[in-house]
Amino acid sequence: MPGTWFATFARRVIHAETFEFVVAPAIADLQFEASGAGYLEKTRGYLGVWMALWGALCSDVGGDARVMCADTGILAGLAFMQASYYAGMLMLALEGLTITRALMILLGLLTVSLIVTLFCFWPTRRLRALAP
Amino acid sequence: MAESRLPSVSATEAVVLNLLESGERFGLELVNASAGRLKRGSVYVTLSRMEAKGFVESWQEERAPKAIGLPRRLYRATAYGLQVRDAYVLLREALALKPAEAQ
Repeated sequence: MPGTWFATFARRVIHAETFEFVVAPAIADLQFEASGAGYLEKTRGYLGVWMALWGALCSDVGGDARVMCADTGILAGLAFMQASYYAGMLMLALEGLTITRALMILLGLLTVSLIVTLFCFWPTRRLRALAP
Repeated sequence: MAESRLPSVSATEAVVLNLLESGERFGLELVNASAGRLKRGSVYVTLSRMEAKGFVESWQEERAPKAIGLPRRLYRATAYGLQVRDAYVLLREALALKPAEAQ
């Protein structure tokens, strides 16, 4: 059945709701059309499904970014708490650090903490939840 | 007090509403009936956005129990969607008038 692997792939990269309303109908139309379609029609169908996935992905990333912006303070606080904890541990373990080196370590820890925080708290809420 | 936002209808959304006014259709049917104004890749994103706005409603088609593949989705314009489209048509016509004609 055409589009089966595509559906499996799309389910992994976009939100369930976006899949149901944007990508699944595109795949369903592709499957409906594929039975009597020629090579050109199938290619156009697949292109349409890829475009639908791209649109869905953009919509998801945009929605997630909006949620992230709304939670900037909380995310920054969580990252700072982690960085402070590990920085304190490192300061105790490493003696005789220069200020420059200590600041570089702190900056590195802040970056790593921010990445970990974003990974753990990536919003699963949808853009529609924020929509008026 | 919460600020209420006016609904907006884009040109593409107006095309979709015009096509759905006559009855329910599948996404692919909308593309085929639009004479090139709707694209296959973007019509589902547009329909999803319109559903979030309340301009259209959709549901999955009823299928035989042993049917294979994903079920297709049918779309229908809501009364609210058609009302907003009509209001926008009136607005565009009113704004297109010259000041002397409007009096």
